[in-house]
Amino acid sequence: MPVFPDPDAPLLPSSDIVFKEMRYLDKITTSYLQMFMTICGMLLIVTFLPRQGWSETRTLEDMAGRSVTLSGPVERIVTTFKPATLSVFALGLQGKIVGIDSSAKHDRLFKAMLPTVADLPGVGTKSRGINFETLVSLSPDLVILYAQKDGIELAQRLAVMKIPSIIILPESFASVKTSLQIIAQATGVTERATEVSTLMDDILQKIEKKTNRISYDNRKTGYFVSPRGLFSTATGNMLQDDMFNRAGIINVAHDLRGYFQDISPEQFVAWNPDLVILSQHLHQQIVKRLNNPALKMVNAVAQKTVYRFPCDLAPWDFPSPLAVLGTLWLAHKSYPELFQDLDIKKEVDDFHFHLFGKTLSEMHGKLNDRVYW
Amino acid sequence: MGVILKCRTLGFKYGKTQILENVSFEIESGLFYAILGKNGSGKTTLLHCLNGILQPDRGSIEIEKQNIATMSRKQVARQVSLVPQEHLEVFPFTVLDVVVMGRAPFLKMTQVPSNNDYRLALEALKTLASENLAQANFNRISGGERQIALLASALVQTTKIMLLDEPTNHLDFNNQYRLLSKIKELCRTRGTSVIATMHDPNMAILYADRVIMVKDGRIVVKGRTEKVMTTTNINTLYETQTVAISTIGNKNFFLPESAVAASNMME
Amino acid sequence: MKTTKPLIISLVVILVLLFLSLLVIGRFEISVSDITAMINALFSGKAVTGELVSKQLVFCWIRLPRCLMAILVGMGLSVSGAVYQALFRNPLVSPDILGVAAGCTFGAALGLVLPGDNFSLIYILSLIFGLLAVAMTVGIARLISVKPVIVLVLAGMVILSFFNALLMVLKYFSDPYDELPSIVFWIMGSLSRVTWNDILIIGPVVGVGLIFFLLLRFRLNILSLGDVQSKSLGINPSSFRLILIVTSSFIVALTVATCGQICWIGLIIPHMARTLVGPDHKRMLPVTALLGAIFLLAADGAARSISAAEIPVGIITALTGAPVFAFLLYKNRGSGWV
Repeated sequence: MPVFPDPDAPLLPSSDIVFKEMRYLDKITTSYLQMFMTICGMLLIVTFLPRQGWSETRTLEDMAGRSVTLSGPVERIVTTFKPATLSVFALGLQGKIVGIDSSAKHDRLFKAMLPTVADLPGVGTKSRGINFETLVSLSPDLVILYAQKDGIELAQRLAVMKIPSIIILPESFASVKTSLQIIAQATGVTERATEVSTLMDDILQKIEKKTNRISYDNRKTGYFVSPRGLFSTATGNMLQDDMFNRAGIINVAHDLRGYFQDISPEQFVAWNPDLVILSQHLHQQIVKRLNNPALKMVNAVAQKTVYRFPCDLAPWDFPSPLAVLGTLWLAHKSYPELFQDLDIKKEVDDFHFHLFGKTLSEMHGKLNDRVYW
Repeated sequence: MGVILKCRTLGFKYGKTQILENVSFEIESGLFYAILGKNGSGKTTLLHCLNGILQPDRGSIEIEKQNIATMSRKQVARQVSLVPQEHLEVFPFTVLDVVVMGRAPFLKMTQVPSNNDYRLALEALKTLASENLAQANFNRISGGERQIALLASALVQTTKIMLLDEPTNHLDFNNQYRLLSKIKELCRTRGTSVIATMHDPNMAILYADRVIMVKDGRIVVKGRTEKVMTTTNINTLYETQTVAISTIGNKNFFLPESAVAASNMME
Repeated sequence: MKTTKPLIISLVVILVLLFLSLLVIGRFEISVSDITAMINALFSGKAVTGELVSKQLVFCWIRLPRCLMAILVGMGLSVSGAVYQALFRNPLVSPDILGVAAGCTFGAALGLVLPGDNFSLIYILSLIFGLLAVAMTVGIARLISVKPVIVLVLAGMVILSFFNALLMVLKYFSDPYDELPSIVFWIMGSLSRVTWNDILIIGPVVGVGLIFFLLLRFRLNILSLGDVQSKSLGINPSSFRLILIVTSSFIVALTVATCGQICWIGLIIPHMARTLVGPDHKRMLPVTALLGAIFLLAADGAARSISAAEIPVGIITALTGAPVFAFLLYKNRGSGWV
């Protein structure tokens, strides 16, 4: 087949030849076009592909307002407190952890996902202090710190050693998501972070769709028991208050401000909450204090609507993506009639699967939400 | 007037140091005994052994033929009282409160001083011409006044045997003599045996009936004042040269020679 | 002497009035008519009904025991403080310095960490370690015994640090979730956990202890003169000291095991009493006990009622106690007892 038109052909080609040539041109154009588009597509894909450890310099702002610049891939991560570790696991980056907060080494959730977690070197805990030398000896590419308890000071010292660190402060649903985003930005897994955020929002929406319909007057009242004691409760600033609210429950201690606050037993009786929710880690001995005869008539005690936040693998009442499950569980426990159409167990298993790669049952986790006293 | 206290071959050790050794003497009732010696010779220790505060490791002390080691503290306290040298600061008790504490050996464990006890306390102060001190704050009065208060307390406790540790330490010129005169009077009127440690030999000469000289924890010489208080004895005791400078009646009084020479008295 | 009786009577009256008024003050609404209704029901043998049921529960199981405990602890701590000050002949001494609270905290933490469900174990261990702390402090002080009171304070600091360190170690190994009761409870004290069981234990102990101290009030006077004088007055100071320290330490350890450490009461109340009636223990001990009861009752009333959040009572005793103490020091600067 001639590639070029016959020079002896008439100037006005016959429609046959034109069509033939047009078809030919089509073919060439198509094939070039195809090539061009493939190349473009590849470029596009490569540009937008979730890159793990792309060696491009990136600057981000952490939750302490610090500007952190990272160049090169992040292959060695050190976490210094449990929520940070959990975030790293949630982002699927657990394989890059080279140093971990000591309290997380025996954590059942982490062990279920990464059995070798117990062999990782522990760098200390945020409450009792981080061993700076151990930390530095691990040659991390990224250290994740907590905003309080001299986190900023630690970050400065690490900067001197040319070790980048980011400070996060997961305390509310929003800041949990932001923390995930920041870690994701630093490690190049932003899509994953968005995924987790979406997962969280989905669950919250499912809950609020139903609970938003409950009028204020019909809402039940609830009282949260912090791990510190029966009469230590969560104030209006805290995550648990937000969880209560989204689950359609009024936190009786909503007007208090600050961290966990002690209240007098009389105040507890005066509030007369319909529900009493214990933190997963409240010691059983303290639970026995519910036997005090003075508390007999409190709604929650009398009706035995006293529960523990799940679960035995990881607490759902602490700032982490799992808090949305805590909210779901809470809403379900408080208004079971509203959630009959939702298979809570499935939601929980699905969430765990999407977050950690295994369902709760696969990790042998139990809700552990019954309370005996 | 008989022997009321016997000290037999008393020995006292503090740690490895022998403070007192082989101390023996007898105390007769109604007499004023002066114990003389240098600082650190063991005078206070001796007093503390005599009323049972310290336990000797050798020898014994008998009060009216009974060994005080067999007596309870209370029983001893009813026979012997002590006016200490140092007055540690206490709570701001009134002087009367302090004096009435002397009645403790006569009260049962849970008993409180009665009105009678307070009356006796006030009388003791009167005896020392100091009833005006009764309501004063013990911590605020002068050293001498505290001395008097403690003496009154000792009086209220017992007038059998009184131990006085440097009784004139905090007193001014006049009151030193007044106090010792009063004490001498007690010996005469109530038959009190007084054993007083003193730092001034002249005081001893004035008031004491008997003198016991203690050097390095041992008794050097003891006996009647006029016999014991000689230049030689005083020199040996204080390891100095003294000179008799005055004689009043039949008593000699002494000053160290070096002091006399320094002030050019005998030119 | 003549001024004491009217003072004691007025203090008793104040205490009773305060107690009665605090029975109707609190976060839970209970009025005088409610209480009269409850008493009527009690005497007529009928059960209470309606709203009164929960009021009765709160009154009988929370408010009444709490007010009673405030009186007991106030008396116990203040008189123990007075006894310590007499024994150690120093008005700056109080049971707090001997490290009782640190020992109690550690004991309680140990009880919580050990396996088993026995709640009284926590209490017992708290008591044991509180007494152990005192024994160790006094023991160290006796071994050194150069200047007794200073050495005692130093030994107390040593034992305090020692037990605090042990507590930290315990938390390090066994408290990954920060479950052990907040240190704040132990350091600042709180009467919020009082039950009738506690009163049944502390009541007799404080009662017997107070009577014991009161009976020995004259001997306390004498002991404060010093060892030499005590001995020459026929008293054996060491055995007295031992028995008095054991009794007052027992009271204090029990108190701390139940309510945490409530500072300042053992230190300033005896001073206030001395300012009012002089140092003679015959007059001063009853006044101390009454003042201590009034002070803690008022402080606890404020702690539990001012806001919905419960203020640790130690904060109130410290905020009011410290300036009062400074004032007393100033007022008595010439009397020679500090």
